Amino acid sequence: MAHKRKFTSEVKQNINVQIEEQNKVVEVKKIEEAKEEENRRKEEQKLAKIEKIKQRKEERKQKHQKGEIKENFLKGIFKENPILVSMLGLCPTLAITTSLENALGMGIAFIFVLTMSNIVISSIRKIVPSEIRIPIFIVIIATFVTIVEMVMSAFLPSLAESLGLFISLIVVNCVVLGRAEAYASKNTVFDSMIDALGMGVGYTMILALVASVREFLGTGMITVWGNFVINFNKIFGSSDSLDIFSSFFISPAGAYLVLGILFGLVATFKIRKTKKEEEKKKQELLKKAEEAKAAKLAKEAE
Amino acid sequence: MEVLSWILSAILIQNVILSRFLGTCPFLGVSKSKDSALGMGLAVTFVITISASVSWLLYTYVLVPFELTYMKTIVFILVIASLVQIIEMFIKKFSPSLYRALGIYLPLITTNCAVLGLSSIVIDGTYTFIHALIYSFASGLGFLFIIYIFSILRQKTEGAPVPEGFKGIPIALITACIMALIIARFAGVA
Repeated sequence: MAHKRKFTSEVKQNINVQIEEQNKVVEVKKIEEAKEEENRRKEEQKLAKIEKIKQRKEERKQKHQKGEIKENFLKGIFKENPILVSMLGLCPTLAITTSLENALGMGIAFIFVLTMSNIVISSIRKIVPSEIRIPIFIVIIATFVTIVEMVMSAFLPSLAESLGLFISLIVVNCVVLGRAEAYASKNTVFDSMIDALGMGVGYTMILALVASVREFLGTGMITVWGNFVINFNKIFGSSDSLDIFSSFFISPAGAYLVLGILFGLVATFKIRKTKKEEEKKKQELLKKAEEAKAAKLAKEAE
Repeated sequence: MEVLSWILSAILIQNVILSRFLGTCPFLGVSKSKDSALGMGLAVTFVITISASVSWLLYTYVLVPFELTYMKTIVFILVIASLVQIIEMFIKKFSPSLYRALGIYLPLITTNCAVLGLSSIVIDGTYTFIHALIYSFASGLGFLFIIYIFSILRQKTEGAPVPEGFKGIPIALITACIMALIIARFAGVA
């Protein structure tokens, strides 16, 4: 009996070993299968990504063909100009527009900060929790402003001195935070970059316009980086500024006057345009009514 | 006497709005009625005093010893944003009536350039702590003074016979021009 038991136990052990081996083989097979599946998934994901990128490119091409990108860029300059239409960011518009040089320097700094912050904000827009988005945006903007401040004080110290506080005040410029909140936090990186460039160029254009008016009326000449662009005084043969040019326009009060007149003219222009359009519409309606009457009369005559 | 000259120069000669061009956005945006102008002015005075003195302390005792002065813009804006938040919670708890009066204007102050501007002005090395405290408080009063007068003037110009295109913001800017001319005359007093 004992022998038989030994035999059966040996057989059992053998069977156990066999089962274990079989199990091992099965496990290895499973692992291999899992690996293959993972590889397949990865490949599929890669393919999907490539397809997505292709789709995006195609979309971009289509958009480009439709002129949407151009429109996105141009809306910052005319339709939704940050100064003329939304009246945002007026502090630098009043303060640093004493000369064209300052306005251009400010404009370049502004375009850099707006574009970079829009790119960064739109690329992290899906990660940022909405409760604390404003502080995060402000910190991102402040980082780029600090970069501009340091670069400008190292390479263009005279410009940095004349712009003074207002470089660091780009942080609280309503336009930058406004674009981050209204556009970059909802749109793709490429679109928000184009939007930022358009807004920046529109802002710089108005700065340059106000600055050249003020500099010309204030001193009679416009200088950019040491070179005269216009020198009205020289035409009349005087080296000092003439009596007709008053330093009033360079003073703070002049800034308010020039900007007020600019806004007033823009508003008058808009009102005239809408009135013209309304008149056109009215005339068209009248014409249609007359035509309809004439047609009716003709029918009755028949 | 020195203190008096600090206060007068902050309110009249170096007025935040009309000669430094800080805080123009609320100046034009929140000056349509007397009450909102008063509320905004009080809230700005409150925040400007606290934030400028906290910024001065942080700058002289933390940023300068650790040679981190290039971080000042980031640090100041964070100080202002968190201060505004704390002040809002504090007022809400201890004075609900004040909260009702100032509540809407407090969050707007974070992006008011007068606050960050004054924080950057008082750290330029010529101000002692007491001077910075008084100067920032007086600047806030200057803001309140100008925005309150401006709101009254705007209400008067509303009924005035102005060309259609110049109604609203343009005529307000021209009004501000006349106010700036008057303020500029005070420069000779000091």
